[in-house]
Amino acid sequence: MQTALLGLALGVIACNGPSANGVVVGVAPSPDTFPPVSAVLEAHCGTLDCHGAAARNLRVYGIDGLRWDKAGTTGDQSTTMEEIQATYESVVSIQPEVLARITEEGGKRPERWIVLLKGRETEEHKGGRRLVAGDDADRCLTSWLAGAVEQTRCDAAALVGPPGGETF
Amino acid sequence: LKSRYVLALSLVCVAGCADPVRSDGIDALGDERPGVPEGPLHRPGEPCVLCHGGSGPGDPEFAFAGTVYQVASSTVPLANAIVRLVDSRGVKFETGTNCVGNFYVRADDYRPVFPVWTKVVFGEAGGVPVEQIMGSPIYRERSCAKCHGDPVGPESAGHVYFAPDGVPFPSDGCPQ
Repeated sequence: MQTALLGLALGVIACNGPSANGVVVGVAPSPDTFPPVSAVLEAHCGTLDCHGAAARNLRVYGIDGLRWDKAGTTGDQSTTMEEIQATYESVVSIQPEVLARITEEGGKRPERWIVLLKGRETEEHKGGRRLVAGDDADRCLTSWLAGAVEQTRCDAAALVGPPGGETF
Repeated sequence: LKSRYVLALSLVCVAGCADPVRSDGIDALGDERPGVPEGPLHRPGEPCVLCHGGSGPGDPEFAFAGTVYQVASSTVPLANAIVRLVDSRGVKFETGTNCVGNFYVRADDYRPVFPVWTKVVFGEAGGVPVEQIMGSPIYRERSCAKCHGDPVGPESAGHVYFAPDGVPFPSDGCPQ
């Protein structure tokens, strides 16, 4: 009997999520600082075969993947500001409570956030390891979380090319 | 009794563990085109690795496969083009397109570590081979048609083509 009551209590606690109509208002880094981060996400995560697709929870919009404009086409015309905004909204909607905590703590322990857990493949990720802790792409993202985007790291990470250049 | 139980459990798992998304995708492709037997010339423009992904029904398994067309506005195949690939380690592979534009890379021949970059090479201009490099790398998809399906749109780059409309190509149809 005691076990059953304890189980019921735990169940109530564990299943007590937001209400059906509830809205979680989180704290996230500013969208104004997001464009260089968006470019990195596009290059590393945003192709059609990965997160540049409507089927993903984390959607990355841009030239090489999903287009925001329904009349748009993949591979044609540069990424628009609307697409950067849409990617921002998608990104900050992923585990917003964790993102809020990291943001409020000045970007400390960013590896708590699932975007980094998956990107670094600390947690199972079908797309494999797309970020290595401390590399340019990773630093771009974590510096954004810390509120001080490292532009040079982002610029470097936004360029993804074959080893040895295009002469293969 | 125990072995029967294990056998029954295994059968349930085999029956129930198939990937329904993949099965639905294969069913949606429909039947073979009349007069075209299974083989290198069949099903151009379709997502090859759906069947040739290692879990059947297609055999052999492909590391990559797809179809290359001449131009964006039509589905005239580009035969005798070279498709080159390089993976994140710098390991390269190349193959050619056949008379329907199909190419394939057997998984036994190439086990790339993603991302992979690719280009199509065809003909020459001023003694230099003409090539078209794909703008973004491939991160996981092994069927070109999965991302390059028609029609072109907000979630598809359209079929793989080599040149702008109006560029003349030699006629290289399949032998009748």
